[in-house]
Amino acid sequence: MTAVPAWSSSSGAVKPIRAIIAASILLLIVLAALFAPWIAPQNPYDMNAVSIMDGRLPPGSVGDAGFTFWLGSDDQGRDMLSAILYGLRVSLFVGFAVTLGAAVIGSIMGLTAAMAGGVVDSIIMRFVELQLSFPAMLIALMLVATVGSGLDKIILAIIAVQWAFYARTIRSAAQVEVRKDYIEAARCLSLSRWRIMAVHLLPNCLSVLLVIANILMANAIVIEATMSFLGLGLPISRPSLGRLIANGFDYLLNGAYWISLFPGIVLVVVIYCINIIGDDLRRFLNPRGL
Amino acid sequence: MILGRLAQGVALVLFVSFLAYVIVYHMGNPADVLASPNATAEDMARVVHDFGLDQPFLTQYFTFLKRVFSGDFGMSFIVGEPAMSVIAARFPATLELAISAVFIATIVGVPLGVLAGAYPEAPLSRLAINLSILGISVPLFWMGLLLIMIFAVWLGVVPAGGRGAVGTFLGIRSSLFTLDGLHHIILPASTLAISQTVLFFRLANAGTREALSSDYIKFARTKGVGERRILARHVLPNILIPLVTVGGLELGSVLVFAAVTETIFAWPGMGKLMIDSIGLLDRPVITAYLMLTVFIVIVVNLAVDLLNLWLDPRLRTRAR
Amino acid sequence: MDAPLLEISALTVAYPIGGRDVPVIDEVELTVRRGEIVGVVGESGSGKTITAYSIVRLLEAPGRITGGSIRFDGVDLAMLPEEAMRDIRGRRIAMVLQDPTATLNPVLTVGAQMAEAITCHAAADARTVRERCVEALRRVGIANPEERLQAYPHELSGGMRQRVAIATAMLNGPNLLIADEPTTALDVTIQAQILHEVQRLLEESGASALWISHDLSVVSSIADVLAVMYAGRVVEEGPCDQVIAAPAHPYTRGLLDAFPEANAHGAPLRQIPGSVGSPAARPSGCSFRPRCRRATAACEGVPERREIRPGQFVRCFHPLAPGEVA
Repeated sequence: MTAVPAWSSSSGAVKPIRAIIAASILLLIVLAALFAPWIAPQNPYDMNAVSIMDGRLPPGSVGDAGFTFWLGSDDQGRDMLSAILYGLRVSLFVGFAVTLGAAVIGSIMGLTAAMAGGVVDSIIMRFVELQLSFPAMLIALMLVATVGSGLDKIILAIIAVQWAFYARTIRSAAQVEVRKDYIEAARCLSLSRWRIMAVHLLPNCLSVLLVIANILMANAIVIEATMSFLGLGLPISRPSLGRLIANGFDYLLNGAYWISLFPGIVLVVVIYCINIIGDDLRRFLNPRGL
Repeated sequence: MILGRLAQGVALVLFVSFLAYVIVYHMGNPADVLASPNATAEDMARVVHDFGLDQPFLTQYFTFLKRVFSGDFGMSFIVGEPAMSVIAARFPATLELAISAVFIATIVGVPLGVLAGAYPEAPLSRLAINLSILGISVPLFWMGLLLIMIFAVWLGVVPAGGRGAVGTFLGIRSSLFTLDGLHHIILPASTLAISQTVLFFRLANAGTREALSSDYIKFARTKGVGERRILARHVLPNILIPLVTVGGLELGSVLVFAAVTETIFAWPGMGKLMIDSIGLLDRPVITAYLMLTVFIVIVVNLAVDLLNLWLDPRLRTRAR
Repeated sequence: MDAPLLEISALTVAYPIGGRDVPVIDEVELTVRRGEIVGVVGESGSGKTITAYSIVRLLEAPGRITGGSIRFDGVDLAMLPEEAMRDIRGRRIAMVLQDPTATLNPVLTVGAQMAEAITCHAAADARTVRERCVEALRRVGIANPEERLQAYPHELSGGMRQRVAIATAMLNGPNLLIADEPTTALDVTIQAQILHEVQRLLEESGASALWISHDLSVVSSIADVLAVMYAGRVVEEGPCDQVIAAPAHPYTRGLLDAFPEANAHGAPLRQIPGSVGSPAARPSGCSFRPRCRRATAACEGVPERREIRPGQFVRCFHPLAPGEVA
C-alpha cells in the first residue's frame, strides 16, 4: 500500500498522440506497398522497362525515354522509387509472415506447456531455453547456410528463431492465468483442453502477445534486412529493402549515395513506427514495467 | 545451481555438435561437402575412406566428436589450413571489438539510465528515452554506413575501416594498446555498442524507477539518507542484478552482430570470416565457428551465474 | 503546561487531478505532547499515511502541502529547507513502515543498513557504530545481535525484520516515532509482542509516538490519545479511554460497534453502510453525511472542530452524548 493515491498522474502518463501518428504513417506505407504494382511508376524487375543507360542517375533527373527518376536510379537503371515500393512489399511480407507463424507456433507451445505442466512442460521449456541461449542471428544464419536462401526459407528460418520468445512469454502469462478460478471452473465443466486453451486462456494472454509480437515483428524485419545485406538473404530478383541497401553500399562513399540512402531511410521509418506503437502499447497495458 | 548450469552446458555442446554433425555429414552428399569442389573421382573415393563415410551413423558421430574435442575440424577449403587455426587467428580482433563495445555500452548506458530513472522529468531524460527507441530501430548495418558517411567521409576524423596497429601489454597483443589502434576501433566499436547501450539504458532506467518507488528507499529516506547515497548505495546494487543477467545473455548477440560490423568496417575478425565461409560453403570453418560460439556462450552464461551469486545475496541461500 | 512536541494545524495536502488541486487531507489538526502516544485510526483512504509522510516531508510528487503548518518543537517543518529536514529525519523524527518485507534493502546486510542511520548524520568510528547497533537490537528483544548484523534481510522472519526496523528507527534517540501500520502485516501473536516492546522502548526513552493503524483494538491498547480520521479529516480526537467509553462522532461509534465482540450473540453484525469513495468525489460539507443516520440539512456545511468535552474534540453537527447509540 503506498501513500500515493492511485489516481495521481505520474510521468508515465500515456499520450497516444505519437502512437497514432506512427500508426498512420505505417498504414500509409503498408497501403503503398500493397498497391505497389499499380502505383509504382515502373516495374523495376521487368527487364524490358529498364535500361542500363539510365544507370546511376541522381534524384529528379529525367532518363532517356523521358521517365523521371524521382529518387534516382540504381546501377542497372532501375527507378529507386519503384524499387523501394517493391522492396517494401517483400520486407513487410516477411515481417508479417514471420510474426504470424512464430506467434501461432510459439503460442501453441507456450499454452500447451502451461496447461500440461509436468514432463511436457519441462521438455518444451528445455527446447525453448536451448534455443534462447543462442543468439538469434546466428541460428538464422546457420539455417540459411544449410538450407539455402529463398523467400520461403528465410521466413522459415526466422520463424524457427522467434517462436521460442513467444513460447516463453505466453507460457509465463498462461501460468498465471491457469491458476485462476475461471480455468478451474472450465475444467470442472469438462471442457476439452483445446477449448480451454483457445477460448479461455488465450484471450487473457492477448495483451502480452500483442506487445511482444510488435517488438518481434520489428526484429524480424531487421534480421531479414541484415541477412540480405550480408548477401545471405533474398536474391536480387526479389529484393527486400535490405538487399537494396546492400546493392548501393559500394556507391555510398563515392557518388550515388541515393541507391543506399533512400531504401535505408524507408526501412528505418518503418521499424521506428512499429517500435513507437509497441512502446506506447506496452506503457498503456503495463504502466510499471519495462 | 552451478552444477545445473554445467550440466546444461554439456547438453548444449552435445546437442549442437550433433546438429553440426548432421548438417555436415548427412545433408546433401557429404563427400561433396568435405572434399574440395575441385576433387576428382579418385579424390572423392579417398575422402569417403578417410572420413569413414561408409561407416554406420553413430560410429561416424563418435569419430566426429573425438575430432571436435581434439580441435580438429578439418581443413578449410578456401585457405587450405586447419579450420580451427584459421578462426583462432582472427579471434583476438573480434574479441577486441566485442569488449570495447560492451565497455562503451556500460559507461554510457548505465549512468544515463540511472539518471533518467531518477529525474524522469528532466529534458535530457526525455530526449534519451526517445533516442533509445530510435537506437533500436536503425539496423546495425545502416547505422554503420551512416556513421562512416558522417565521421569518416564527411568529417574525416576517423578512418573508414580496417584495424589499427597492434601493441603488446602484459604479454597480450591487441590493437587496443596503440593510439592508432584506438583510432581505428572507435567507430566500429561504437556502432556495435549502440543496441547494447540502448538495452542497458532501458534496463537501468526501469530498474531505477522501480527501485525508487519501493519501500526500502522510502525507509532509507526516513533515516535521513541523502539522495546521492541512495542512488549509489541502494539503487545501483539492485539494478546491477538484472543488468548483468540480461547484459550477459546479450553478449552472444554482440558476438554475432560483430560479424556485420566487421563486414562494414573491413575489420579482420572471425565474424567476417564466418559470413564469407557461409557464402562459400566452407563447412569445416562453419562447424568450427559454431562449436566455438557454443563454448563462448556457455562460458558467458556460467560467468553471469557466478556474478549473480555475488551480487544477489538471496540466491546464495537457495544455492545452499 | 509543556509546549507540545508536534502541533499540526490546518494541514491540507492536495493532488492535481484533472487540472485542479483536489485536497486529499483537509484542515487536519493533530497534537502530540512529549512522552505521549497518539493513535491515529481510520480506514484505507482516510489520509492517515499521507499525514504521516507530510510530517517528514516525504510526500510523493505530485502531491504537495497546500496549507497549514507542522510545528515540531516550535519550528514549522513545512517551511524548512531540505537540508535541515534531512537532518531531522532519522535523528529527531523516525519512521517505521508497514511491510517489513519491503522495508529493508535485500542486497545490503542488516548491519550496513542500521549503521547508515547513524553515519548519515554524524561521523562515527566503526566500533562505536557496531556497539550501538548491537545494543539497539538487544533492546528490541533480538537474540544473538552480533550475528544478526551480518545477516541479510531475507534470512530473517517478518517479525524480526520489523524489530530491526524499529531498532533502526530508535538508534539516534528520536523525539518522535511515527509508526505507519507496523504490525498489520504480522501474525497476531507477534503483533502483541512487538506492541509490548515498543511501548517499553518509548517509556524508557521518553519519546513520543504517532501510531497509525486501521485496527482500533491495536491502537487502543497502546495509545494515550486517540485521533479518528475519516475521508481526509480528523473527525474526533481525545484521551483514548474517554473516546472509547463515550465517542462523540457517529463514525467512531460505528467503528466501535463493528467489533464482533460488541454484538450480541446471534444478532446480525452491525456495519457502517456505504464506503469512503475517492477524494475527487467527496461530498461537500461533512464527508460522513452519506453514511450517517443522523444527517440533516445542517450537515451540508463543513463542521468546525469543537471541544465537546474536556480534552475531546469533534467535527460534527450532531455529536453523540455519552452512552448514546448512533
